[in-house]
Amino acid sequence: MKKLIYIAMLKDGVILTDEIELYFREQEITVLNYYSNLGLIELEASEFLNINNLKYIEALELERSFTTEN
Amino acid sequence: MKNKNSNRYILLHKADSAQRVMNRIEKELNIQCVSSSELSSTVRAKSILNAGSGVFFKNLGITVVENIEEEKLVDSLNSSSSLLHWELERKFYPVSELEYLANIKKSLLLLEQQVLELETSLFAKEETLEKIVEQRTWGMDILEVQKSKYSGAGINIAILDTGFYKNHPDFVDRTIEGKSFIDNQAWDLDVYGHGTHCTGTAAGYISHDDKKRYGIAYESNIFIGKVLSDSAVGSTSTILDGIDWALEKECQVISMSLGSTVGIGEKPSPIFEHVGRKALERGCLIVAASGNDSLRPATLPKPVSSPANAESIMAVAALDKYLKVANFSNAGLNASDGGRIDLSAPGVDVFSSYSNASHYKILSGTSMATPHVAGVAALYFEAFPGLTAAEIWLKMEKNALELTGQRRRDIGSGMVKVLK
Repeated sequence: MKKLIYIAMLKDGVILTDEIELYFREQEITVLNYYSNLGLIELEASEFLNINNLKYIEALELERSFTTEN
Repeated sequence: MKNKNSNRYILLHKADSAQRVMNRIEKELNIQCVSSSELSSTVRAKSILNAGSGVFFKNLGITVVENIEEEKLVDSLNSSSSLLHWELERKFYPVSELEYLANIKKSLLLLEQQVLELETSLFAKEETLEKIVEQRTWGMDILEVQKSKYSGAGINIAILDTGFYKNHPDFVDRTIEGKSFIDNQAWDLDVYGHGTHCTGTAAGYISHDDKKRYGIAYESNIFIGKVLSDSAVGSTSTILDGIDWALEKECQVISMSLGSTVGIGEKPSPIFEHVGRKALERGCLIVAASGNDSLRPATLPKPVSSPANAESIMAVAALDKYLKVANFSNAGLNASDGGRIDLSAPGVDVFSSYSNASHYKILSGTSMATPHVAGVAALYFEAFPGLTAAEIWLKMEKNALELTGQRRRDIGSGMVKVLK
């Protein structure tokens, strides 16, 4: 299956640590990017994710495409 | 104090015994000296000096003499004698308070005059700069940019777009920093051109050939984040990368002429709502295009696109030359969930810089309206350094030009206005 890219908002006060990265890896989710100034992480998964099954995450959405507005 | 010279001289000697010093004075200057140890109520220094002798103040290593030829002092100083320094005696007077104040007042008046002269020359320089401008785009005219004393000086503006054509002749003397978040594509070429156009409106000045003013915050510091590819496509992650970087660079304004279509009833992204709030907390206002999916009046307008539909991101609609909402400009149909229009700005037939052979192009879109608002935001940040980004936002909306006869869902609080 094609890989799915998600953007996830970390819960208040949570920062990405090795431990948290390991947690995601154990769920077969790869942390691709950490936007430290924004408290967001980019995740790659091979299945659809359910936020109710994930720790540390406040909000989650599939990445979308953007273009110019003219 | 005021000083007035007498005919007495003060001599400073090298450290030595009093007798040896006085012997040297007699030998080199032909003056007999009396030591200060011999002074008393009856033997006064004045009378000794009047008699043609000198007084040697043994505790100070200083002699006072009268009526001596200065050439002798010069010779004595130059030869290897005990003399270190000599000077004419000064007279001192008690300070007159009124005279002192009068002197201060005189100095302040002189300082005031100098400040006025400097101010006059600075204003003359600004007028000269404006005289260089021979014409303005309709957007610059309607915003009356020439009446603003602000230029965006000291303000960091980030334009997150397709990049920027760094060799554009109008920007050769500008401070521009950039980064590409698109793999294998440079930020400083802008193959697509859109980013260069938006940057020109927000932070440009005048065209190099016919001196047409097309930019607002012409002294701002420009930060270019290439978050859209050379075919004008980006993703949530590239945009977040750009925003993250712009915050790292302490940008006060982020201009994003980009969007992703949303459906009626679709709630704004909590991710971008969070991002907008984070930016505001960091003193940064994100301005984004509301989108061009509408076909007024034939059909109902479409809702404000993402990320502009986030409550914490300023959504901009486009106006035509008659200050009517452009037929393509999206509307705040999902207003209850934050998908509002906040402000509007010129967005039809907008002239600006471009990355083509002629260096300029005329484009239309909420993409063009957005950098107008971003440029004005930079002027507000310059004018009100003590305000938070949220307060700047409120001020911009409060000062907007009301456009009567038009719906708030189409034009928000009205047309953005430049600070005079």
